[in-house]
Amino acid sequence: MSISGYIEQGFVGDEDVYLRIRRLEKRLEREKKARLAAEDILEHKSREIYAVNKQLHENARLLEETVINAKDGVMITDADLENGGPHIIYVNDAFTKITGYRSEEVIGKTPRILQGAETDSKTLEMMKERLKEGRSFQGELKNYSKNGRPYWLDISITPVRNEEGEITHFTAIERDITVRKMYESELQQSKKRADTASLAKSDFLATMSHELRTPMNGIIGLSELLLEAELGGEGHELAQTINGSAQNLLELINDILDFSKIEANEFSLEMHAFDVKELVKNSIGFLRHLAREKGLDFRVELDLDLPEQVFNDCLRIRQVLNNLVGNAIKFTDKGGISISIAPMPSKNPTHIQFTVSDTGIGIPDDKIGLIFNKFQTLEGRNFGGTGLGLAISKQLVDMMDGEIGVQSRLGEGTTFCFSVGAHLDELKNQERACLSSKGSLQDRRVENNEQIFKGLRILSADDHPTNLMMMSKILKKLGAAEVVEASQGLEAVEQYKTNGPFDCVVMDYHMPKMDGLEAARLIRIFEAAQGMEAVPIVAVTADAMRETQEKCLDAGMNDYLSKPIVRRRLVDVLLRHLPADVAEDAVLTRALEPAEAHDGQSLEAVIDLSHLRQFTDGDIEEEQAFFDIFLEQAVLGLEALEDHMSEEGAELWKKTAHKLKGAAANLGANTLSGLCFEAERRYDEPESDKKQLLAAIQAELVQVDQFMKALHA
Amino acid sequence: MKGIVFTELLEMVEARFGADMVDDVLDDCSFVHDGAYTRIGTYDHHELLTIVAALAKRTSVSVRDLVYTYGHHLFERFRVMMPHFFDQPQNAFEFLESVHNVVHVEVKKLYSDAQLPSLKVRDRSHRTLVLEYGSSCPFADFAHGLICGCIDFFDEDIAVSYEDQNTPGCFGRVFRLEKV
Repeated sequence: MSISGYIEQGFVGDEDVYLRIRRLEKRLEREKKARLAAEDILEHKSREIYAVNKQLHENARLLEETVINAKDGVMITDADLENGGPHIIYVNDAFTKITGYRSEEVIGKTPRILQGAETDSKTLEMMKERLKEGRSFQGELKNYSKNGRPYWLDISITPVRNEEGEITHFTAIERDITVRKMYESELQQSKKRADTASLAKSDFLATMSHELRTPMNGIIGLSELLLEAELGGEGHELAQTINGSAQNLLELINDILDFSKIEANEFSLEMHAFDVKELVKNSIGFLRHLAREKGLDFRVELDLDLPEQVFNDCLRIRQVLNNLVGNAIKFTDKGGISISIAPMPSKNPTHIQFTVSDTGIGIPDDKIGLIFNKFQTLEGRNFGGTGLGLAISKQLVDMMDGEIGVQSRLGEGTTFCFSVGAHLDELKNQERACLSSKGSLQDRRVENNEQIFKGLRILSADDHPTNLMMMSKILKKLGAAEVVEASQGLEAVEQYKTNGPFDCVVMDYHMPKMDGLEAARLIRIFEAAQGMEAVPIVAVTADAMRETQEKCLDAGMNDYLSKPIVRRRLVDVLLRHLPADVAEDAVLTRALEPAEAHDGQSLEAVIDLSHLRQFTDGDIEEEQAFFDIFLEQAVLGLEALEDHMSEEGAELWKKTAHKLKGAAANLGANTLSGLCFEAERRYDEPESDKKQLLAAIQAELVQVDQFMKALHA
Repeated sequence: MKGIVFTELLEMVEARFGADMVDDVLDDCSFVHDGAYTRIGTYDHHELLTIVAALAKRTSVSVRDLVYTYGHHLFERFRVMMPHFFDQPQNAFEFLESVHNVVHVEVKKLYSDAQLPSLKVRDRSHRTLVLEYGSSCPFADFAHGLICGCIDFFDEDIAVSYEDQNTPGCFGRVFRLEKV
């Protein structure tokens, strides 16, 4: 019973006491309620705290297990970077495995006990600097294990901060990268060795190529002279074969030289303005002939929007085009080749695109990705070649600010596309900068037989007698009044001093006793002392390296020619440096002459006049006479062919076709000659086929006749 | 509002007006829980206003005075209950400056659900301290009491002037403390 209960039942009678007790009871009741409420809250809080604690424990357990069992070493230190610190407070098992130190051996010590003679002090300084700034550090470090074995670590150190943001600890995670380091070092050494070997190889190739070019000069030059000599039909053909083979070999050598120069980063472009249409015309004549010889259709499309001129390296573009078209012909037996050249985009083009499509054997899908790789020739495509052509093409196109690509279907054909920069802006700059007639001179192609150097006295120096003889012949053919020869540098200087004045000097680069450079220098000194005008001196060198060319210019020479000497290049270069009146005359001669390159009607001249003119020295009457003899022979030949189409006449058909082929080739009627070659090859085929061939030959002969008539009209 | 504010208030009432006054005032209020406050509980802040209103009625002291007095009283109690907050501050300015960034931060750690007023330093010079009070509860006088309790504790001669800057949903007051 409660106190108030007693009171109510009359045990206590005082009203005041009763109220007092009621009050106390109520107060007690309130306190009890408050206590229960507090207990409830506390119990609830306890459960909450327990749950949170459990979660924390679980998290801590996971973290701890992770650290303990990690394969990477984990080390925790305090944050005392001074006073011999920091001090290690924890390491895991992996740390022991890497370093050989057990936990109790390192706790309280500084991590510096792990460092040694080859620990990089700069890395350590950087580490300390960063940690001092409160930043993390990552790097590679060479440390030493307990027994002194060096090992490499990839180490990452992170500062640990408390709630106030103060750094209290550092944790370091260390990975043993000793094996990786070893591989890296081996790899580096191998790469170094490979680079050295590759460089040596490139050097060797470059040197060899130079060395090879010099004798090639002799072979090509002399075979050219042979071709001009009065040889019998067979002799002429043999000389032509020598010349052709030598040209092929030179191309291969040039490929290798180009490639090794590109590899050695010694290659640079010679940029100038040129007419794309002209370039194409000049490039494809021979290729068209080759295609026709194989019985292939050959089409060229020039877009109407092609700019008049573009600015790039026309020789290199020609090289790429020749390579692609040459390949197309090589790998196509049926159908044909089509070439198209178009500006990209068509208005204000930035690039010119060349597309070469064939209907040839195609390239398998799994090889198409490899074809621009060096030394890659496709299996089953046993057609000779260095395997460098496409690799060089790709590198050249890259250098010419373009792209090259290929699409192919096996058995159906291949299309190569490449673009080169048009650089029309550059062109305008050039035009502005060069308003003189010099630029236009460079564009003019000068045919073999012009008497361009009429009356000139030229000094030619070369230690090689055949080269010297060849140069004299060429110069004389070009109209030079006198060519004074010198067999070495000093002699050239003496000749210049005593036998002068000369209109120009052609100087071999390499000569015994005194080389071309020294001779040129002495000539310049002599001229200066005498107050003479500087004579144009052109170096001739088998070494096409830019460095050599610069040396020539430094020695006071005006220009250089690389061997083998090509008549056209010789004329171009000499014209560039001869006094203006000589040059003007030459251009005038050129302009007066009707020429196949300017007819604009067809891309392929029916007759390549350069052949004919080697025999006629540009004399129109002589040309006509020559042609008349040819025509007479040809008509007789056609009659003979007609007579011997039957099987019994096969041998005679063959002989006649052979004879006609040679005559047409001498004239420069290459297509006709090609057709005759075809007739000769197919001498034992059925009469119906021969009829077709004969018809083609007759049609072509009509073309040749018309061409000559138009030329001499 | 934390229970300690209620239990301390009732302690003060008991000390100054006797235990019967506590009973009477709580009887007047007729709370569902009969006024069984525990310092670790959390209660509606309106209850505090109800208690003070009932006390004012019975004692004839104004609500504002009572609230101010309670603030002043509570500061002394804080000092006794939480002496560690007084380790660093050397004077009233230093203590008041630490309220927002130290005291309230610590309170939040223990009672994440606590709804605390803000007391930010708007201006501070050698002689002057301007504090900005803001709360969703109308306890600016309570804060005033606390501030004066603090000044008295450090035994400094500082004049306090203030200006109410209430906005909808927020009771604000700017206190300007100037050393005399």
